[in-house]
This record gives sequence, structure tokens and C-alpha cells, in this order.
Amino acid sequence: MPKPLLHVDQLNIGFDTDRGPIRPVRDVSVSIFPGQTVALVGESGCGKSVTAMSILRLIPSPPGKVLGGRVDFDGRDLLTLSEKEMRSVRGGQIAMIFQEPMTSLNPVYTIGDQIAEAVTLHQHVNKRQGFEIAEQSLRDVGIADAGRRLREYPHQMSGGMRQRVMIAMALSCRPKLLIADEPTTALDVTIQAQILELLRKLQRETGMSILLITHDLGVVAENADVVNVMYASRVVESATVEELFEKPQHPYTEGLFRSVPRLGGHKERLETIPGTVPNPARFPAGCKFHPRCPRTRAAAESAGPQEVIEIAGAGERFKVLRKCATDEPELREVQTRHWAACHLIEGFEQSPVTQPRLEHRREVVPVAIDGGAQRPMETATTAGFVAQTGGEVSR
Amino acid sequence: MPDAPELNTDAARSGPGPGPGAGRGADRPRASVALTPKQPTSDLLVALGDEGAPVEMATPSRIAWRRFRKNRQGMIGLIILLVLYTVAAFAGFFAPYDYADEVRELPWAPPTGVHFSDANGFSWRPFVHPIRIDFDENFATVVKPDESRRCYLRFFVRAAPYKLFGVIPGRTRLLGVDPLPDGTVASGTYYSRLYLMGADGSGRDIFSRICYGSRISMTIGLIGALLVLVIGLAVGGTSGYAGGWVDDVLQRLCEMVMLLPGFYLLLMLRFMFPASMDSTKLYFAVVLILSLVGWAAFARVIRGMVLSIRKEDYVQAARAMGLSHPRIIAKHILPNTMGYVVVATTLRIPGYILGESALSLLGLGIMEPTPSWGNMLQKAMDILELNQHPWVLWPGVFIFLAIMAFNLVGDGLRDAVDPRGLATR
Repeated sequence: MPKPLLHVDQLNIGFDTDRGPIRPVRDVSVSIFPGQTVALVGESGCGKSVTAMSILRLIPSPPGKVLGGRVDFDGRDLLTLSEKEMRSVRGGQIAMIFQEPMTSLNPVYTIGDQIAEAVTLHQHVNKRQGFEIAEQSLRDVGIADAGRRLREYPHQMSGGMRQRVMIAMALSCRPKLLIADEPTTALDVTIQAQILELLRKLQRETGMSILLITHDLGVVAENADVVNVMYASRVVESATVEELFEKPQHPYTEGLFRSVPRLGGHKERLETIPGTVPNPARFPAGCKFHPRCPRTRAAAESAGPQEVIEIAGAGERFKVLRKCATDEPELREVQTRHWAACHLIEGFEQSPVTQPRLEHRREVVPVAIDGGAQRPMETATTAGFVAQTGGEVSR
Repeated sequence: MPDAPELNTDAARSGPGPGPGAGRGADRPRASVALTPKQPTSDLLVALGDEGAPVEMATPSRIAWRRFRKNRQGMIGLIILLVLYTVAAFAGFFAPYDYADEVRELPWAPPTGVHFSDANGFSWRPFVHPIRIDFDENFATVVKPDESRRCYLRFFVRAAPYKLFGVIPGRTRLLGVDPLPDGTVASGTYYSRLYLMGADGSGRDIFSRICYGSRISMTIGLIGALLVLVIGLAVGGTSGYAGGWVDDVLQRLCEMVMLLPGFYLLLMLRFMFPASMDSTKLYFAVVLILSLVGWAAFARVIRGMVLSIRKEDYVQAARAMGLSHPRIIAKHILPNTMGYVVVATTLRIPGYILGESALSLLGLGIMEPTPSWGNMLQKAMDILELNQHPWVLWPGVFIFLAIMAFNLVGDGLRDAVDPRGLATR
């Protein structure tokens, strides 16, 4: 069995805040195999960015600290490396691009200076060679007239262009893993499509792995091989992209799909998941999703009085199953190669508790999904757009 | 321009590594057309993407300079400063006499008039009248120019030797006057001296002393401010970036320095050094004292700026690229404070010039006979002296000029590097 490039094993992160300790990442396990794109999906505040930052050990400490777990990358536990060793991993073997291309570049240096700085830091080249590599990597990300762009300042570029520059910088050292933290959230839809297409193209060329952090299911559908859904600092569902879009198991995942606008829908209002992600300082007991969960409410209707408990949530009082409110479900392999954490999945208690590990590469972009969710609108836009202009989509 | 041959472009691109400074791209096509047949089709994306960038390479400093040039007051200040620093650098050349060159017989000689005409008619060459010492009917000494004689002004004369920058020997001075005309030299009571701004109590030329004094007064502020810059950036940068207990300790230290009224701290620090030292040592002692008084406030502002800059995404991105903390502070955080730093430093220099003047005025700074504008003003402290010889105030005029010039330049720079202005193209 091939080894994963990155294996995050039962990672736990704690923060000491003014209002007491919080746990933004709890028992998170994620595996990424070479050449794979793994998505980490969830609402704001669910812990996906903290997970990504702690892989690179970039969480500020104090107040943050690792409470347990391992981050095995290429045969080494990153959590045990010295700061110096870690610096050569950052940028050299694992690179990261951020959500805000407008502010991720230093305004006082030229593009070339910044890329060449990264290059000379990790590769044994002199400054001039650094600039040559920088120019090449600008060309790789499809920036025309790279030689001139090298001498420009960030403020002379548009958002899409800057995100390309960020990608060029991240990839200039040929990292094995790229962590893309909401790489397209700040960009408009057409630029989003270009950037994602660019990432796919570069992945094909270099064989790197991508950890894609997003809340956009359209982006997931287009790009991911394997999807991990996070809710309230835990992974609540993990499966291949096809499996997840076809048969979402966790009620939270179902809710996410219902709240995506889709073509052909006749509803006037978009469905939402009631309530908000709970504050990590005040997580509810039991399953963290139960105050918002439609499934446990429905089950409580028909359950006996001993199994039911009344709670207040989202501005009203209602009944939920007692076990949902008291007992936190673990991530179990509820079906072959499909993990979820919900008491109300059939056969959940009998399913084995294992760590998700999927060496899966998608063959086809799932365009229309029957049953659960339909094709998200952004997917449609993306595919249609690229096809129109003669670009290629991997399918 | 748009029809520039494609070949040319490729040659330019594949040339030996266009470094950061290599050809500013004036000869290249403005925006290379993305949809050339050479481009692979997947690069089609390019064509859809971003608008062409502005043609001119606008570095932040160039933008700032362009704006500064439009600021009239700022430019006036800059010109004054350039003149003053030129004089300071070539003091020996501009001063007619050495700063210690005394003529004991001519104390408080008034400024020498430079004339083109006198009773004997007009002359194209400017001249001065020699000073004659005589007795009046009460046998009191009378020092006044003898208007019947002329001593012509000479340029680029060979006169008393000096050393440029302390090393290069020179004898040529910009101005000098002819010695007395033949036949009158022997009298011994005539002096042909050029006192453009009068003489002090020892008969030393005030203008010459101002020229030499500018070496101290104009550089002490600059060096003091630069020293403060280094200390302030180091302390403020570390404090703001590290946070935690490091920040606490450094900030309490800053507060302790700031608690003491500046001038008393200045005096206190002065007494930590021996009362009399040779002038070079004293110079550096004064610089050190001035910067030890001034760094704290500066470091605090830098800390505040660093606190906000370190949260910027590009700092996070630099961390993710594997840069070390010191390098991030030095290369990514502090340069972003430069707009403020340049302005603040410029506006701070006058304070150090005044500080030196104040110390010297009290006799605690630069010691006689080495002139500084401050210790020259000591003579102006006595109101009776001042009343009789108002020209001893000339160093004050120069202090005023220098301070005003620095403030004008500082204000101009502040407008020029305004970050809101930088963002616009």
C-alpha cells in the first residue's frame, strides 16, 4: 500500500484565549497521496484554516499550541522538527497560497524580488538565476510578458494577476504539497475559473499534491479527489468526491448541499442551515451539530420520551435525541471508503472506527449528481466558461 | 510600438537573465499580445485575464520624488540643505580663514563692507577697505576702515592650509583679499581682513567659523538621527514583532526614558562623560547623548506600526515561504515603515541640532576653539555684547535656516510618501 505524502494523524490544537481555552482542531486526520487534491470543506470558523496553518506550524504560539497528534510529511513528523528544519520545509516542500491576493504580496518590493527571494532561499542559486527562475515561473502560470512583469509592483496588478503571482511564487521551488487556503474566494467568478484551471494544469505538470481549503462546493466538485467536511473543529465526513456528492451521509453535509444555488431550482429562497457554527469557547455537549440538525429533530418526533431531550437552539425550543445531545459520535467508516460521524446513520454503531485513507484520483468531473445535491451553479459556470473559450477541463 | 517585431521580444526575453535593474523595458513592446501562435492553447486564459499594466515603471521612491518635486517649499528647503551641506563638506574652501585664526588687535570688528565704488571712483573688481587702528583726540582706540585705500577681493586664493574631510590637504580658498598696497605695509596699524559677518572677541572671522561650525552642527543632527533610527528600528521592530514579555520589557524601558524631561536627561547624560575631552571625542559623546534621549519615542511609534504590519497577509505569506523571523522583520516589515521613518527622521534632525546648540551654549557641548553654531552663540548671551555687536547672532540665523529647511523638506516628504497617494497609479 503506497504511503501518503502527508498524513495528519489525530491532530489537536488548542488556543488559550481571554475567555478560556478553546479547541479549534480536534482529532483531525487527513491523508494526502502524491498528486492528489484533497479538499477541506466547511463554514467559516470550523477549523479548516487552523488545520492548514498547523501543518506548516504557523499558528502563533502562544496562544496556540499542539495538544496532540502527528503531522507526517514525507517520512518525518513535522511537529518534531526544529524551527530551522521547518523553515526549509515551508516554501521548499510545502507551499501555501492565501485567500487575499490583494494583500499577500509585499507592496514595497517588485514581483521579481519577492519570487526570487523565495527561490534563492530554498535553492542554491544566485540572485540572477533566481530571477531567471522567477521569470520562468511567471510564464508557467500564464503571465504574458513575464520579463516586464517581474519589475512591477503588486499595486500595478489586478487581483487575478496577483493570485497568479502568488501561485508562481509558491510553485517556484517545486513543492510536493501546495496548501491553497481559499485561493479563489476573493476573486470574481471568471477569474476563479482561470485560477482553478491553472492549478489543475500545474498539478498535472508537476505531480504535486494540493490541500484545497474552501467553503465553495462548486470548487470542490471541480477540483477535489477526496473531500473532508469539517464542522466545529472536527472532520464529520470524509469520502471521495463522487461518493460524497452522490450519497452525503452527514446531515451537515446534506445541509451544505441544500444551501448551494442550483440551476432549475424553483424555490425563491435559498435554503440555509439554521443557526451558526458554535463558538469554539462554547461548544455544545454531544454531537456539535445537534442544535442545528434536522435529522435528529425528525427522529425525535417518533422516538420514545426517554430517548428525547428538549433543548433551546436557534431561537426556539425543540426536541432532539438524547444520544445526539450527550454523546459525541466518532468518525466511523459507515460504508466502504466513506467515513462519517453521525449517530443517525444506519448501522453507525456497528461500523468500524478507522482513519480515513483514500488513495483516490478522480477520472471524471461529476457534472450532474442524482439524488442528494444537484450540480452547483458555480460548477456550471466554470465548466461552461472554460469550454466556451477553448480551455480544457480535465474530464 | 505595437508593431514591434516579435523576434525582438523573444531576443529580449531569452537574453541573459534580466536582473531587477536590467534595461527598463523602454524598447520592448508595451503589452505583448497573448494570442500569438507560439503560445500554447492552454495559455488562452491569459488573454482573458488582466489589463495591461501602466507603461512607466513607477517605483514607490520615484513616485514620491515626482510628488516632492512639485512641492515648492520642500524644494526650497532641499536647496538650502544642499548648500549648507556643501559648505560643511568643503568648509576649508569656503572659509576665508582658519577657524582659530585670531587677530587680537581687532576684537569685535564689524562686518567688512564689500564695495564696487568709493571716493576714488568705480571698479569692476569688488574690494574692501583695510581696517585702520588709530587714536582719537581722547586717545581712545578707534577701529575703522580706511576709505582711502582699497584691498581687492580675490577668488581661489592660496591661503592658510586646511584638510578636506580631515585628510586631503588644500590651500585654495574661495575668497581672500589682497594684502595692503605697497608702501603702507610697514605702518602695522592697517589690517586687510575680510570679515563678511564681523569678528568675534578674539578677532576671528565669524563667517569662517560658521563654515567650520556647520561641519559639526549640520552633521551632528544627521548622525544623531541616524543613530536613533538604528536603535529605534531595532528596539521597535523587535518589540512589536516578538510581543509577549519581550515587548513588555522593552516598552517599560522606553517609558522610563520618556519619563525624564528631555533636557534634564541631556544634562544628566552629559555629566556621565568627563567635563573636558578632546573635540572629536566630545563630538561623538554629544551625538550619543542626543540619540540616547531621542530613541524611545521613535521606537514606540515603530513598534505600533510593526504591530499592525505583522498581521498583514504578506508577512504570513513570507512565513509560509520559509523566511526566518529576523529576515521577515528586516526585509518585509521595517521597509514598510520607511515612509514614516524618512519623514520622522527629517523632522527630528532639527531637534538634535537644537540639542547640540543648547549643550554648547551652556558650555557643555563642543568646546572652544572648535566652533559649532551653538558655542558661537554663547557670545550672544550677554545682552550688552549683543547690543554692541549684533553680528554675533549670525550663527543663530544659520541654525534657523537649517531647522527651517529640514522642516520644509520633512513636510514635503510627508506629503510625497503619503501611503494613500502611493496606491494610486
